[in-house]
Amino acid sequence: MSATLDLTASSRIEELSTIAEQTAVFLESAGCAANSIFAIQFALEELFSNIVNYAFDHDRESHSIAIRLEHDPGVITLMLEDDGRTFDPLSAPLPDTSLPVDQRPIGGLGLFITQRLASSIDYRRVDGKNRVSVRFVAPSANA
Amino acid sequence: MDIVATNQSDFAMAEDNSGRGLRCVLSGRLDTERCGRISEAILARLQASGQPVTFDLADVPFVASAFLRLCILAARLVGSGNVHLANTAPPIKKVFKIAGLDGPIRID
Repeated sequence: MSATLDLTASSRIEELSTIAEQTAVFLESAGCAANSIFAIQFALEELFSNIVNYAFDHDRESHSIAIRLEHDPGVITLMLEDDGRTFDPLSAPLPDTSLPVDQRPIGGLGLFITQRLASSIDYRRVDGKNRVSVRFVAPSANA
Repeated sequence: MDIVATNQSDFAMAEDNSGRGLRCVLSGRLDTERCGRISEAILARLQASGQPVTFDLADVPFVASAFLRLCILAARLVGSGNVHLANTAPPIKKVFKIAGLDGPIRID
């Protein structure tokens, strides 16, 4: 059986704690394993904070970010949509994780780890909006 | 542990009574917002001491990449190999491993 959670938040980093609470309840009721809940919340945290920090110029708090979680048998799909500047998270440069810590760039880890935790990521620019879909296969505690 | 130096609502940092530097006890979600709030104070303390640091994550169920950045900056201040994560939950170990930080940062 499918289930969906739809949330809309203003583009403020402070919104994330409430979003995390609401998504945790949904994912737990969907029977997701603890490590899958961690992975999905990590992806949500990184994609949301990236939008807040980089998608808008000076009026970011007047913009909304739409979040959807879909639970289908064996799959959770996380979707985020914003009307900020065009940004494909799959185009972000990958950090060199073999560099010593004193030579590492500080940015880029969040999206890189998100890509590694997810089963797949899809990005589209639709009607002037960024739409990112992140799929997590077999997230259930019994998988 | 003798908490003498820094004890804020968001974390507690003190000399580790084993003599291995500082011990920073954190609890709750270390998300982007929270790391933004605590990083400056933690890094200032590390810069002042230059000692190895152990982050005790026994009561931390979640970290964002902002915490990994904090650990990288901490390692730059006190030296690679001198940052230790203790009592680390398996999903947190996994993100440090993906980031290639399970070498420069000791994780238990």
